[in-house]
Amino acid sequence: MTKTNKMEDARGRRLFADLNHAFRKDPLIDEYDFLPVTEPQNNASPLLLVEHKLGLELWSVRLLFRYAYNRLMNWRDRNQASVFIDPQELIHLSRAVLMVNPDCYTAWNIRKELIENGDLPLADDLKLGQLILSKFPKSAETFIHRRWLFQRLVNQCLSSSNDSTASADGHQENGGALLCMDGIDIALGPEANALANGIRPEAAAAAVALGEGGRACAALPLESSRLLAENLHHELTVCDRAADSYASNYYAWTHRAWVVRYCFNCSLQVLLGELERTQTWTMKHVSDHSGFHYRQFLLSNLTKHAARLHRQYAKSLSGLVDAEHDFICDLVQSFPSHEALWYHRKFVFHLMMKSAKTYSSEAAATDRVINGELQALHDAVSKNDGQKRSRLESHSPHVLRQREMDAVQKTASQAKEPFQKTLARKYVEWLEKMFPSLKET
Amino acid sequence: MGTPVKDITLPDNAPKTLLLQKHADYIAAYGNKKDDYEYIMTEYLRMNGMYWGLTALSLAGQLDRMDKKEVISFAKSCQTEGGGVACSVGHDPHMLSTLSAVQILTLYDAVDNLNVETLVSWVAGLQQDDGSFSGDKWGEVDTRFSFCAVACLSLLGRLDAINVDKAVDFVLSCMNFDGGFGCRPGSESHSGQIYCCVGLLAITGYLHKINTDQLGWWLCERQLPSGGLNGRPEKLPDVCYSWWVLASMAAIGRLHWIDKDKLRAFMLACQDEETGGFADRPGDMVDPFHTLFGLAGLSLLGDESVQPVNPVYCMPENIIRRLNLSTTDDAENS
Repeated sequence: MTKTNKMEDARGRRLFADLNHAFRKDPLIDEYDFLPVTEPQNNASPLLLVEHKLGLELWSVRLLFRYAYNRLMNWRDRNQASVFIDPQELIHLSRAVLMVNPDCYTAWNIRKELIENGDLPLADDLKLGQLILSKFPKSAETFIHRRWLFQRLVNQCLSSSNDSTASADGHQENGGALLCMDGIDIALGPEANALANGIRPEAAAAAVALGEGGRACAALPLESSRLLAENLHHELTVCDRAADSYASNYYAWTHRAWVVRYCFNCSLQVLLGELERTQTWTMKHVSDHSGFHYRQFLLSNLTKHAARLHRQYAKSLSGLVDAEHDFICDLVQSFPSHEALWYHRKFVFHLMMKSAKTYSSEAAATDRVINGELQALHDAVSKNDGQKRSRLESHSPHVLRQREMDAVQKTASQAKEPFQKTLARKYVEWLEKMFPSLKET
Repeated sequence: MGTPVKDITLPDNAPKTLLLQKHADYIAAYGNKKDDYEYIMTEYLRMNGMYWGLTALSLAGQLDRMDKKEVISFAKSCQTEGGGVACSVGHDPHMLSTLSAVQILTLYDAVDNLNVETLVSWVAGLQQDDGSFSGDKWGEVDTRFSFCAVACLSLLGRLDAINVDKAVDFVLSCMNFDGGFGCRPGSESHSGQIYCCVGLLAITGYLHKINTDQLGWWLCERQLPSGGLNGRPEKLPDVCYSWWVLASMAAIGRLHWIDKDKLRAFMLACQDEETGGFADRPGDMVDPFHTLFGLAGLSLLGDESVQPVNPVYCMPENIIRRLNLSTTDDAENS
């Protein structure tokens, strides 16, 4: 090793020790960043720790990384003469590597192995991932690792069940089973409490719950289920923060949808809670196509459970879709020239038309059940006198289409911005192609 | 004043001609000047990086400037016992680097330097029950990995090793309301993912399952006033999306829906006259990734100074034809 290399190695070792010391001193570090100091100023440590925020002077980052990365990869390279590093050191080395370069997937894999061996608590990695996302909100590998962590928790909860009547509400995905959460009332916050009686997550997770159709969900072992319940709801907040930090954050939003689908199993309570929760967010981020797409994901999944939505939550699917249409039309007017808004409007209107078509056909063929869910909903609603009939139920597709056409053409003619006119015109073209003029049914 | 539309303005002094030799020089010298830190920071994508550089040189007709023996030796040393290929020596195998390695060795007609049997087993072993593919043994599913698996095996003539029908079914289950595709079923449509899904359907002969007009429409809406293409609505234009989108449109026979002149002008403006190479957009730092896709995109647009590129594999068309894998004729006839 050259003299320079030896010096840098020694400095790297010291920085590494400083970093580990910082975490020992303050286990609650929740944010970090690199400070724009490109040359060492004095002999003081380049680490700064204030109120759980960690700063590293930029010049030191490359020394730290080189030291930790070379040691870690030397150990990993099986062709080398065996180098022994104890698990605790591996945990610290991989942490240092990932804090600088979270896309180094091999380092994440090393941590997976440490978790499997019992050397690293799974919860620690959830914490580390969250810390890393504070600096790198769109690190794909960090989100990928989180999915492995949650999948592991879910698998542990299910596989340790005594009576394997554990049900998966759907097919196998990602090599693991889905968790049947429908019967488990997990309190998700004030809005959820208004919907159903929330019970403490730990209690809920530990209880045997009955899902739809009387299938029994297995009793969940307390530790994994506790971790799962604690972290699942929080995961939605982690996604929220990452979405805030980086516009149209594909990774954050697809991860959020994954959590809802594979961990919450698209529980109605969660779908409704998320719909409510993201409404304000999307209003404040009208360029964020990913945010609106997430609402499309929520609505698509709600569509599959129209009858149960009505039975359990006294909400009509058509009411939700109407409300979404009002919401997006409002935004299109208030925030002209935003492509993301017009895209969302397309989806919502398409959903309205799809549901309206079903109603119309049922009116024409009363004996035929085209869509069991919507038929049940239709029956349920018509039994309630004085229930406000939604737009969907009162109008045929033809009327809906005409109204939408009129509304958009009005927007186009009144628009002051050329791009808004363009977007409106494109929307009209889309309407004409997607829904060619229908006869009155 | 109104809402500013997300786009860039082409600088007046931006390059207007293709500086092909400068790009070849940039790639050939790349890696030699990098300091230790840069080198290890990018090691997690080394195999991909080599594929980008070698393919770019190949399209510029100057592949012989790279040390063939060294490249082959490197790729070989990255194959692990299980058969999968890692991004670099000592790292873990992954579907992305496995495809890159096979593409690199195909450029040199030297795939036999790998243990093809174990590689094929490794790839096939990652197919899930629903037809999807995970990226490695840890289980992450993404349509990118479906494309990698199918492209890789088709280059090796070993599509028989997987359940092609199920692989196709999974990709089709990722088709969205707008005709596009995301990383998993129900995920947002994204140009990169679309490229992968369209590519898989092209290779397996299922392009007819795509809603061509709808997807074509979504793709051509990626073109912004500056001429550049973005990856999703309300994102800035980027030269790499000019490839993912363009290649997808070529594969489905809708290349003529793009304003080619404006796109070409945007792409040329992304060149760096001093250093060579392409950046994501005019004025930014260049890198091999954007350099490959800049050259490949220009080739697709018909620039005759660049070798013809295959839009599905992003490799020289003559090599793909040599392997009897070209689907270009099918696309033109669709």
